Amino acid sequence: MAQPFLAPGIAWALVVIFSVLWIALGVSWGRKGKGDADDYMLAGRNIGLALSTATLMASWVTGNTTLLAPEFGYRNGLWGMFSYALAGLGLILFAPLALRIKQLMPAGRTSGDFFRLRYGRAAWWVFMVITAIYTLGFLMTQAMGAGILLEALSGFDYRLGMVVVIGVSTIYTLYGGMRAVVGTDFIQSLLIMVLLVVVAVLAFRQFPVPEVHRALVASHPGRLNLLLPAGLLIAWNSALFSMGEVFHNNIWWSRVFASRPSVVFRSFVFGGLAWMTVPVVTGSIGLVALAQAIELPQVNMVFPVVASQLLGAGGAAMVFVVVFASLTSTLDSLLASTADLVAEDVVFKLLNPRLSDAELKRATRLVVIGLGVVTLALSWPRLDSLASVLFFTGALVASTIWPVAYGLYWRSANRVAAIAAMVAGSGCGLLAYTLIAPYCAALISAAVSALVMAVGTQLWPERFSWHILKEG
Amino acid sequence: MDDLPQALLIFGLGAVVTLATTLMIWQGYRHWQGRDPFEGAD
Repeated sequence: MAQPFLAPGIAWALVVIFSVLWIALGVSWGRKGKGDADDYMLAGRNIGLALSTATLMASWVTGNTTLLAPEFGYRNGLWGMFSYALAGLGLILFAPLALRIKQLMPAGRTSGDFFRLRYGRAAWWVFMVITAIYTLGFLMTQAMGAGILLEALSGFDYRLGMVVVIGVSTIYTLYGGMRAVVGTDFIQSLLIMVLLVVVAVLAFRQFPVPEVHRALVASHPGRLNLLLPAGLLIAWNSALFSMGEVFHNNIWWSRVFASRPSVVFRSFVFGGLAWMTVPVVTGSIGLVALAQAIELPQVNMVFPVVASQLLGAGGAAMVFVVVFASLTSTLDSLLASTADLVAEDVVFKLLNPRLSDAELKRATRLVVIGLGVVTLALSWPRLDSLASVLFFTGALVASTIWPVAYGLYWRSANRVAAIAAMVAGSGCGLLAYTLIAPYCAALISAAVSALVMAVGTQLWPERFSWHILKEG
Repeated sequence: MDDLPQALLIFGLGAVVTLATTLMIWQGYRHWQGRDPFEGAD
């Protein structure tokens, strides 16, 4: 194993400090509010602009954003940075949809409510299969990412790092519900932004932008070329993949239901814009590494290598905190919103509609624990090709973009067309993943799904009553 | 799949799909702005 960037003692101290902090804050915030199931799942539906923006941004900053974006910058230059940043479009384009959801479904709890009420039970099943595969893939990539990253950064055993990150996220989500998730996300997003800015400013003070540019022009002019084929190929995949992720997944729908009506639109726009700065900043660190010809043991370790080489142990510690905050802020959101979806849609609406409020809350908590355990079990055997797992799920989620957006705005949106769009989009996306290239999966899926949805609705328009969504 | 014409083709298709999706959302947003969200007609 390569030499870790951080001494084990410092790494342990940071892990203990931040684990205790997240759990203490999460448990304390979880005691506030009315204590019923709605409060546990949606934090009283009263989140303001700052918290809402911060939780969106923090949930969207994953371990990949802090480590894969620099790799994209390093490998593909300017296009690598920009294409990764285009994933912010998912949040920004969801802003108008979020406003509409808030108006149509004031009592809604999950994205599953929308699919069931808007398109019927068959469409809900298709949605559940898509979201289950995506969520498990997402949970696994974050859990495995935690093990791999903490091992590389601090020398922790892969499984130890994974258990710590999943354990901490599960404990405070279990006790504090959405209130704990949103509160800790706020602090985690501040930490991520401030530390990234510090690392970037210090790095560019040592190597000013003109100097980096000159070195790149001399040694790697292709990385500054906006017609670089590798960059063009991945450009829109990030945007469409992110739209698919955000439009269908309950992480983002639960934030809509949890926020005040007056802030949903702005929080998604601000959250998306704030998020876009992260891959641009971390991606530019990749360009610094390239310009300075810094030697890399592994290309996905660009960010920690540059930070520790330029800034010493302090830089490595900052990267460690950013990565730890990114992983826990994403995992807590996934655990909370997926538990809400399973408890509300499956346990309550499908299996036992007579469940009391207290029983629903207990069921949600049990699902949080179950998800934590399942994630640990699935991630126990280590896989190193996490990107391929992610691209695979892109084929599925991108097929939901048009059924969601069309169904929110046009009452003529046809339910059979919605099902066909998701099935055909996913099928063609998976074929493209296998036959063309993984980064084409989301694009082909979204294109086919859009076509099926639009043509099906034009040929067989329905007259949906919007009031049906109100009961959700 | 890494030469320029094929890359431009994929890039162009991606741009068209992204633009169409953005326009669809924008059109829906503009349509419902200032209206009763439960209004019957599209």
